[in-house]
Amino acid sequence: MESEAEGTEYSSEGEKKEYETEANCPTCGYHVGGRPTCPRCGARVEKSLALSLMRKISVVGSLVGIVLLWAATYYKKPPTIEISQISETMNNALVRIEGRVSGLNIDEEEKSFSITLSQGPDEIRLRGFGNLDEFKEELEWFPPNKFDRIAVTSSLMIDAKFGASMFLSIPQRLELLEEFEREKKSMLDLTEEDVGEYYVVEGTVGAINDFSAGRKITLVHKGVRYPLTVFNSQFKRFPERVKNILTDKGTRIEVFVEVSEFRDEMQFNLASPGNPNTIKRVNAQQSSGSDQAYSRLETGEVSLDKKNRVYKLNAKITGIQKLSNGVILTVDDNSGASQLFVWEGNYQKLPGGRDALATGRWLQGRVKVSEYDNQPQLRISDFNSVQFK
Amino acid sequence: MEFLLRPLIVIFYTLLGTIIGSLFCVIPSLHIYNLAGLAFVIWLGVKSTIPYYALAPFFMSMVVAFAFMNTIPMTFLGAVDESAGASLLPSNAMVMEGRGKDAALMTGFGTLLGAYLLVGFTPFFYLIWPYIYEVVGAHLHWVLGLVMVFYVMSEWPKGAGRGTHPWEKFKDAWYNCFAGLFTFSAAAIFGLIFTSKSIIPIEVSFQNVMPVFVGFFAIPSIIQSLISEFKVPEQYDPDCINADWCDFAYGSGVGVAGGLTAAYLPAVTAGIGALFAGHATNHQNLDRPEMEEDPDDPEKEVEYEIPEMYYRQERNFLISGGVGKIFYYVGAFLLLFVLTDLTPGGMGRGGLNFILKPAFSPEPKDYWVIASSIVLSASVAFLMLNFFTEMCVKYINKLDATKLYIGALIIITAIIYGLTGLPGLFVTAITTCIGSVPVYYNCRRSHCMAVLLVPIALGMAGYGGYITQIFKLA
Repeated sequence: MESEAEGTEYSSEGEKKEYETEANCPTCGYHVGGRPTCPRCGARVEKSLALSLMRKISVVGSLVGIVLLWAATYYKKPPTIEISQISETMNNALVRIEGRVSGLNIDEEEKSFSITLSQGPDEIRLRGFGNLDEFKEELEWFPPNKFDRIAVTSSLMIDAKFGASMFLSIPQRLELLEEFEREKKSMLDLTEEDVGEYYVVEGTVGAINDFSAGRKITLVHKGVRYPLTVFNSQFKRFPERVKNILTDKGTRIEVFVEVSEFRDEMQFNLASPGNPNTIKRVNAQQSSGSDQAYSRLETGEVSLDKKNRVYKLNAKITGIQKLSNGVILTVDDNSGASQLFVWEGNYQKLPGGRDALATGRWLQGRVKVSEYDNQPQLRISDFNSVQFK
Repeated sequence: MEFLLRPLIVIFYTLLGTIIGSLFCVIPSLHIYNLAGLAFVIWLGVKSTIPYYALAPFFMSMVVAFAFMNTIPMTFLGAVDESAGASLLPSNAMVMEGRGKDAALMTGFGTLLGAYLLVGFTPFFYLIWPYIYEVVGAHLHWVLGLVMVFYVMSEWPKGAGRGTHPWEKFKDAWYNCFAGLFTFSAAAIFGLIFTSKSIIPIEVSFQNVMPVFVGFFAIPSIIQSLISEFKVPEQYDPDCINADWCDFAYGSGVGVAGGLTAAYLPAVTAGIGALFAGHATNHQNLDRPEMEEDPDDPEKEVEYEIPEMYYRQERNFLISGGVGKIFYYVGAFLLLFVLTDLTPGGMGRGGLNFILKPAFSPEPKDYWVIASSIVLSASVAFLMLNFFTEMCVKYINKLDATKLYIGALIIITAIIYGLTGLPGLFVTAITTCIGSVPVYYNCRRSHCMAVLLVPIALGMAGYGGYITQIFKLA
């Protein structure tokens, strides 16, 4: 009977069908596949030992495997790579990258931020969405400053159009390796060699001139003045505190700037516009910004050493040379003659207009020492201060 | 003549992709994304092998071919018994009855219809889909949460409650439910650990999930087939498909709904999408079937109608499955090319999108190139499916399936080792264990998709970092 039952099935016509396979039910011969119990008659399949072993392996293996995987990942250190090593097949790779912060944008409203990390000419963008407060709470030093050396561990997102980027969701995966030592420099000591350098400078907020894309805020320090360009895109992201500081004339501020050049004139750009902490009020003393803050310039002592500095001038116009775009005045206060250039577009700003420029008249006002063709040249720095006698 | 050169090259690579995809996807358990990953690595090494403008049509046609040709191993080489077939895969039940050709071509014709529908949906993709994409995008985390809740809750006890003691009866009735929960939980924990810190070498991290899915789905299938010693019976060779246009019309609706759901929701596969669409439209399946002639004896109505309801559901399952999988595999990549003001980066999802995105970026006019490639590739792939089905009908019962599965196992293991090394094999070993639980305890295998569903949902909800810290993997 036993041999008949094993691997035997009856067809609808009552014929016996013999199967040699072990995958059939030992009782009714029904094909049971991988089941331990026949779904038709409920009998246990003879090869239950093998199946139960497989079952145990699958369950125990699942649990042990998860523990082993956790241990393997716990002890695994994500490799540190160079940005230049990133390739298309590294999409989604968990890696560690060290570099200097070359850009930072913080959106306080959206609680988001983006950091540009640089290694020489290579850059990668790090982004955090909606977790700005979490990063600030967890990391005392956050947000980083420009040129701080940081390390980030995260998964690479590589896109043919937008390049490589990383999403930051875990504050502990961001490390500050080296804080950039921001050198403080007096505006008096700045020279052309400083163009392209980054300094913390201190000055008083003077004139503010709007232009289509932003505003130029004049920083004044002991007669030296430099324009600080703040673009609208930068300004609108500042918290109210910083906006107030930058628009309050006479406020003494300390700001981290990049010294740059625009139309042969040195100027400042914000070095870390994404980090509002780099703009501070240093004291509440109001600087008048009046002539008292400027020293007097003797026309015979004008030299390139005084370039970019602003002085009070009181000198006689002794000659006028017409140019295609303005005039060059020869001014002399009896200490020696100097050249003062007035651009034709600025005639209307003069009290009395172009006609006021006549030989024999005395010109008083604030002028800035600039350079033309390797020679010192004066320019009017504040037309409101100009008077003719 | 030069203006013809580029279109001819695109057509050439579309046909090449279709043929390569068709030939390789006949191998059981080999997924197209394994093949696409290899092809991508080869292309990166020698970029002159495929011109940049033919890259997307080439890969797309491979996926189109896969959507058609995976019907062959799933239908003729899937190892299940009749009872499992009735509840899970009607195609396998049909093969056991010798109706494998019917099953394969019904699915294949559904896929062909789906390909044409997909291209016909172009106005919908440009005018309506971007709004759905944007509006639902912010809510994906809880939508995925609901997907998981529904998915787990819809697992029902399958045991008959046999046993001599109450505990044995309880165990027999409920073990598959607990197995489902165990699989879901184990896959979710694995996914949370793996997505927090992968151990796959970074040089091939674009194939991070390949060893995971091979372990969850491919290898357990092979083991199951080897254990069950499944032998394909002789197959009939009919001249028609056992379905009419009404069946295809109904199945298309369900398939489009399921396929679009899967194409849009991350980590939701065609199977899960089909489950939702099937549940949403199941009332039509339960309608009383129209009989040409009512039996004289009213008591015999049940005897006549119940089998008819079963066969109608069988047809719907196959056709909607065919439509749904092309919307899922191909539609998810096609949406990458739908560039609108709302979606300037496209709306692509899925494995191919992930593989190609680092090297390929679509331009607005590429949509029509890729849509044309789909139509061409689908038409050719259906002919290939027809050919392979005929071959299977003739020779499948003479085939030694054991050798085929062992060969497939060797190929898959070699691909994993070649691409991801020993860490990849380690990951595959763990996921094979988890993926085997549904096989031996008779629960849904797609519970394994929790490996992506749970981490993605938690990540989208903003808890990804928190979970990583809980596991001390920060």
